[in-house]
Amino acid sequence: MAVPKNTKRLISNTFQNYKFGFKTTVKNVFSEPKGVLTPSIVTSISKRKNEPKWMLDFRLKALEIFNKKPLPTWGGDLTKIDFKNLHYYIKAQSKTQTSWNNVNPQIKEAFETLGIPEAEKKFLRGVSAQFESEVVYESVQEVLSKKGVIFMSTDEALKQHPQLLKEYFGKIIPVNDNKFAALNSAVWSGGTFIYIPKGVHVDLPLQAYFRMNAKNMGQFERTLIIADENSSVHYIEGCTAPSYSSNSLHSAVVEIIAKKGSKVTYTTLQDWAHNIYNLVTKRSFVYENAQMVWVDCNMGSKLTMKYPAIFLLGEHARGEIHSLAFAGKNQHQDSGGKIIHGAKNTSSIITSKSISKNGGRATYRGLLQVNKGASGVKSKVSCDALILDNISRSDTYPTMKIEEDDLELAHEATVSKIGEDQLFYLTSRGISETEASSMIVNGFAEPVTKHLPMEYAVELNRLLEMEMTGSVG
Amino acid sequence: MTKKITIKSTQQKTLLLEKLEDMKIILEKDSHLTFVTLLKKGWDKTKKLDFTLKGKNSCLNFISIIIAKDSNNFEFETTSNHLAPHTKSFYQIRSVLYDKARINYKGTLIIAKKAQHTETHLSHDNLSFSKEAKIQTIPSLEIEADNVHAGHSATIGKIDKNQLFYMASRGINRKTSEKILTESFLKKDFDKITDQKIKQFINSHV
Repeated sequence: MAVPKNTKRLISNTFQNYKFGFKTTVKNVFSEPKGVLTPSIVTSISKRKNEPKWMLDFRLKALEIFNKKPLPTWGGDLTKIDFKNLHYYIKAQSKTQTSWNNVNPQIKEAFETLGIPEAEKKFLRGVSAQFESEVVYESVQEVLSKKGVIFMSTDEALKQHPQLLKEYFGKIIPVNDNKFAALNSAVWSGGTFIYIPKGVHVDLPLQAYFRMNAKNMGQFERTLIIADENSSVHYIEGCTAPSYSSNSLHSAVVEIIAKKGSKVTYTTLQDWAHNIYNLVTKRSFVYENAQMVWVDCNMGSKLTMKYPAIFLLGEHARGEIHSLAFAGKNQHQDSGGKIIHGAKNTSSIITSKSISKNGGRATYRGLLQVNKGASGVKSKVSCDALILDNISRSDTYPTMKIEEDDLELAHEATVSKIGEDQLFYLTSRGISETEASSMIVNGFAEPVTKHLPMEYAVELNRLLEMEMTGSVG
Repeated sequence: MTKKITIKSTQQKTLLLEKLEDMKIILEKDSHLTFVTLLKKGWDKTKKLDFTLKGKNSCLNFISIIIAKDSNNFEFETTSNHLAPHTKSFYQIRSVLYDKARINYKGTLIIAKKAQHTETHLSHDNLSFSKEAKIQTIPSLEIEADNVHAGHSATIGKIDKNQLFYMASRGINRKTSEKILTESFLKKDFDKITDQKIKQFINSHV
């Protein structure tokens, strides 16, 4: 199909240069030297943060496990990660700032390009931004603090609420869970800590923004969200990084506890530069009548391996995973979701939509497990893939493990390209082929994007539209 | 020992197996294979069935009925390699589980870059009558061509209460209605079997 030349130019101008590929020169207050990760680096990180002894022990134990565990052999190609050539900790600013005016102007510039202050203007309740390893800017409206909501960096929380951290930290994802969770446990820095007290509803989403600036940087943030009984919260994270020629690593751990009757929604919009390894472990424990929703949109990174998990541990608990992946040139999106039904009358939904283009590879890898005794389970898994050209690839690896008979379970998956009859119908109504195909792709992604807050959904739709222009011929 | 079979060009064939063994089957141009299995007895080691759709327009129809009782173990893998354009493969596996039976199935559909216009679908439906039974099913897709229709589906559940209620309201006792419903569940795809002899045989054995 012919695409007008100027449209083509517009697209290449927009997309060949990674949108967030600007670099900022910031003098780092302190950075750990590059090199092999040793107990002394770990101890030094911990000392610098004035951490209690149990945290240092936790880190050292995690390092031991990290060194012992082999790299996973399944999924994407991890052999090119050079663990010896990474900065494990960089501190960009000496103190966490509470006011936007005090933030280092160069960092501010970086964030302004990203539109962070605009979000502030829109009176979104809280914005917290992680520039490299520490959260440099946080603002929580007074209303929230009065309600007893805690929303701060995990480092800060360790100082101010050590009892909460000691009770929940590392309990959902133990250090020996996998190699990258162990690495994160050893060198973690920053991340978000949220505690919502009993019966409190936070009706506007809380947001955090992560950005990597130095090259050969590993970002290891650690997020812990605790929703007490009958509370609710929506948390949104976005990620970007500048483009450097050498590869960086992002390996986060996110732990969530949804207590009786609570509701937690966790939305990720991942748009890392195309040379970043994004290896994230995300897991939540969901108790009686509680609800957990993961909305996971992966557009960037070189390789993403991320499977948000939900453990349904109380009766009538409910879990939902909605995931969207876009794999472009040289990208491998290996994403999916895991749901484990461990209690009676629990229900779950997994919707996965993936689009691969320009030689990208999109993989869905999922697990649905129903344990013995978990009767009355209802679950539906559907994963659909669109392949837009003949050099791209799409895989689906769903696993179902069932040990119960009283359940209703359905799984379906489809892989297709944009239907010719759909295109024909739309063009017969006077819509250009380009416009028609991006309409179809947007419609394809809609089951996931509808779970996003409005302004994000609009932005994502536009992004998809631009990625789509001129792709079908 | 892996058994090797080649379905020659333009050949139409129906195979019936009551016991699985490791097999490698190659389908040549314009050939058509209906592969029927009726499995009642389990085995220990994983059995591997490998279908290669090598020639244009070749078509595979895989119909499998598993009646799993006692502590029988059914562990098998199927792979279909679509190497040529306009190839088709359809898998329909229906299993009924009783007692402590176990089913462990992995079905992979691979579509090579050259195999445009491939149509393939795999579905695995399970009816479970026992809390002790275990099912694991992994239907996978690996696709490198863009102009294809590919999909899979799996369902696991027990007999629909509404259907049982309907039957009971017509004066049919529970045992008979369970039997009728199970039978109809298993026989749903028999229309696709063109070989009359095999059709009769499998009909009488379910």
